[in-house]
Amino acid sequence: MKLFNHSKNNIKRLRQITMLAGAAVLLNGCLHPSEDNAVTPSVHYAVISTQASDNQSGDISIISLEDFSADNTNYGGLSDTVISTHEDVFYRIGRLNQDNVSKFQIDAPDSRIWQHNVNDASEEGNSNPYKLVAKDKNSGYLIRYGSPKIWVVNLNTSNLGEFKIGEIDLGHYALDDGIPEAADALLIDDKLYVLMQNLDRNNGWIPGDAYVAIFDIRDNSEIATNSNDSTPKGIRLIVTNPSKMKYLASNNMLYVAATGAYFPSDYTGGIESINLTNYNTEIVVDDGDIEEHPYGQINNIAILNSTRGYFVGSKAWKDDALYHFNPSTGIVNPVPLESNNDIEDIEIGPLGNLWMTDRDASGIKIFDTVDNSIAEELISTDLVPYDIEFISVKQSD
Amino acid sequence: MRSPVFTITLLFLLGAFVQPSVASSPLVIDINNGIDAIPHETGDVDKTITSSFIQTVEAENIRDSHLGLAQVIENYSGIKIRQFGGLGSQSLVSIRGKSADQVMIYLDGMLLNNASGGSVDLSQIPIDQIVRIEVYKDIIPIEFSEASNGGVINIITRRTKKTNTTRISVGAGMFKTHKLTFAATQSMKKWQYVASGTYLKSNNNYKFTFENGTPESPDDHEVQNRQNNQLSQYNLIAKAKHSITEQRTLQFAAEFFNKNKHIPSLRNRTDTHTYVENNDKHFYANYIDRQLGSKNLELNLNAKASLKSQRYDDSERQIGLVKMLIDQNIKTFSGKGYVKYRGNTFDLVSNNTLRYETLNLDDFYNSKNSKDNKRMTFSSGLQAYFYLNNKKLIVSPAVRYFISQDNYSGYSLFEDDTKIDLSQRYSTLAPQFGLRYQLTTEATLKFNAGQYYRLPNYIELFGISGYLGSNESLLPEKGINMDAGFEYLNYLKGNRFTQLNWDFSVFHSWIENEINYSFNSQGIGKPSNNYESTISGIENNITLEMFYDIDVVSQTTLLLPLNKSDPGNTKILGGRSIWSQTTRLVLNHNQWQLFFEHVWESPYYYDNEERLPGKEKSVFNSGFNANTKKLAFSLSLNNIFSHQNKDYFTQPSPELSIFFTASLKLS
Repeated sequence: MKLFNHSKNNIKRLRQITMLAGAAVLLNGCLHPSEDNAVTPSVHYAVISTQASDNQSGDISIISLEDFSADNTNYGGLSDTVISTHEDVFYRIGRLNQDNVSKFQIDAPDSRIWQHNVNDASEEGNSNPYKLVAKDKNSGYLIRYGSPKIWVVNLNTSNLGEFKIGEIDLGHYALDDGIPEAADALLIDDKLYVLMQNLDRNNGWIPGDAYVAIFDIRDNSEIATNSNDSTPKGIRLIVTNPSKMKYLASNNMLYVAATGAYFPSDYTGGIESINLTNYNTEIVVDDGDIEEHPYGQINNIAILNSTRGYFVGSKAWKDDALYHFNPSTGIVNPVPLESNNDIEDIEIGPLGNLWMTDRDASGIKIFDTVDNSIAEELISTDLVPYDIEFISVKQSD
Repeated sequence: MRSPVFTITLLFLLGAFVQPSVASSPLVIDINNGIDAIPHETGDVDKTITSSFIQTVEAENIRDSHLGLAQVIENYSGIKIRQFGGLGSQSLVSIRGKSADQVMIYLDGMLLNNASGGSVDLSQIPIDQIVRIEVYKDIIPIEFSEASNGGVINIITRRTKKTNTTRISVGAGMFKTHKLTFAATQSMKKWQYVASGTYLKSNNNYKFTFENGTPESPDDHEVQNRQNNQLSQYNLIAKAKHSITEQRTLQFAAEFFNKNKHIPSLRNRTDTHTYVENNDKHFYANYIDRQLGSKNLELNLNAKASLKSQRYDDSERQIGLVKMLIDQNIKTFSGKGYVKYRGNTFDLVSNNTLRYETLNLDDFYNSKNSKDNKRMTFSSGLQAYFYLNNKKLIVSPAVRYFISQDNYSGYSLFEDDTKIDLSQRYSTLAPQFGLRYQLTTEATLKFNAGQYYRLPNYIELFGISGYLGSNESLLPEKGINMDAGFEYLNYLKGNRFTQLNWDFSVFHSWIENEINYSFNSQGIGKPSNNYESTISGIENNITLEMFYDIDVVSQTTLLLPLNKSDPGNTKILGGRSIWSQTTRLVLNHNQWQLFFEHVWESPYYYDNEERLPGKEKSVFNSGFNANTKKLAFSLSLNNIFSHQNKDYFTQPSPELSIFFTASLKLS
């Protein structure tokens, strides 16, 4: 296991990060004072799903942001997994052909609290869960890629019969195959935003119209984003086959990364912004066309602020690149930060750095978003990293 | 990796210049002495002179069994079967820890491995037509023109006899299993005929614990019947042999195999209809001359044609993510010339095979068909047996030369699914060396070393459009096998123990350039030569025949299979037990036999990264056979205490199964 590199430059960088973290903690204390006005420090962790390179198995890596040490052997299991987090809890989501969700406490990552199967007996295929969005400690929304139904779930029960407590039907968005491929979801100000790819499973997975549907979590009713009664209530996107979306509170905008058709590539993807005030959308970064596509297929995105964002472009098998762009203007720095690598996930960490899955090196690379320099060359995850999520745990006095 | 190829080649050359003494007949003893149910034919391996370690299973040990071929051989040392669950399920064999891709399977001298994909499914080969199974471990005699790191399984089906016999048997068992078998041999003047056929059908709806996708939450587990797991299988073999003279024969054969096997979904749903159907036809003609020209030459000329078709139907998208209906057709034509020279002081064997395969793939839902794919191979082997010291010492160097040319026309996942035409050529030269020393009349010492290659198959080279990527730059896998040991056979008449068979061997293999798939973030796999492993082990087999016709058999394997791909982080290869033990007690009396058997395997990881631990296997089997002049009965009980076993992480195997067979000998 390769730990933090104690070179002089990196120690200096660690001090800067620690100072930033301390400042963030202090600032956090000022903006969100507790009853007695004392600052409650937080401890941050990255929780990463990992995979064997041959896809036979996987694990969970936990990286402490205090010293970037990694604990890589926690759970084992199959390979196609993602992580969702809420407060001091993380959920390991077993996707296709696992179709289960397991709950863990961050301070006991090798000890599962519960595990539930998330297939519905009335549904023929595999539910293939993609994300669990916690509403609070007690309930949440389970996004199921292989089903038109979102489950509303009880997060505090070990009893499978009590796990599902409701559902939201997305079937009216689907093509003839009946499944809209819900791929991502975010909870913003009492609203659940659900991103749907709408691929045609009966016709070579050709993308149909992609949507973002919005639900009021107080009663799970769908919110109309247009006044047209003959079309779905959600926001129809210009790009096709979206996979990720990120929210920027400062300008109340959603940013969606989309790939376009997988094979053959048609380059109808890109990065699209959605103004949540008026639901207007706009192409921020166009992925090009069949003749010219400088970034390849765009399949992931991270937004730091209204002028700094990052996306991953995929040109060929294990030939991905990481680009820096301006979300407000759409201008892309043509020189990638990283190229010729296998990159799945990028995320902005709690301390404002950019985390990237370096799958070729089986580890995490961290970039300083101030100047895009490398803050951490490689934190080994033993197996190949897939999905990065973060947990911040408030420390008790 | 150490590579004593040069040393082995040098030994071969030295062997060619050794001056042997004048010898009498060999002192070696066939460890299967007295139970050779079928006559030796030119082209068969002469087990009295080979130094290879061989496991042999004869017909009387498998007759009337409902077990598949895989189950018959899996409890022998060094052999591991991984099955997808139930009768007729895909069964892949590993010998001494090697992968199934590396094991060559021969049926009546025909290589069943083909260019489309390496592993051979043993469940397709009907047990009732088999008279002998030979398992060659690591070092392979030249009688098998193509050999790989993983050893050879040679399956011999019914041969013609100079007697007239007719036999019919019917069997029934749990899970609505029914079987009907017939076999007839006829001898008329210079012609001999054999015809045999089997029909087998089973619902395979055994009980198992359905984990509901939550292996660690037993609360929602329930016992269910396996759904959509039914099997129907039939086969027909017809052979005719004409004795031109006492020494010259001409043989013709036609073999037909059909298997329709349904595939359960992971959710074990009752409405799943997915299935795979295999249809194989083999035709061959064989000319044997036991005294060609001078009396010291034997000749075996062989021409074969093989048509294999397979249909995979998941049209309702119940197993995979997309609708799939794929037809695969493989035609193979081969010609073999085998010559053996028998001298006073040495024998020389030359085996040359030319093979031509075509592969067509029709993918009906994705309209990405691949036609006119071809593989042409030529293999040539030469092996010498030098008899020294009154034939107590036999030195057998050998070399194989192999060349192949592939042409592919289809769709490439990496070329944005456009049509491409590719070609690839390989050639390899693989030496081997064997040494056999008759220490006493009872004990034989053996030592072997050899280099072997496995060529990439079509799927690895050219991919499956939409599903797996290609890599036409793949190198052949390369390995060195070494083993040494002894065989001891002692007839202890007049003692409490009448016979002791004991064989012991240690083995070690280095394998590099192993082909393994790695997957990118979008889940698309591409093969590369990125694996390296070493496999060491010990095999120990003891058979003790005692008073009152009681036999005790013990077969032990210790294995250390190491994944050396990451030098600083060596792990145990997945799917292999480190320790396995089979113990069998057989009671024979007059015309009946009763046996009890315990099979134990230590736990192993299902994967190569040691993240999916399995459990130990402990299975008890028993059976009873009775034979009279006209009738035979057989009752077998497998997994008596219903041990829950999974060869693969998500595929449960049957618990208790019972099968009964009655046979009528008409003549």
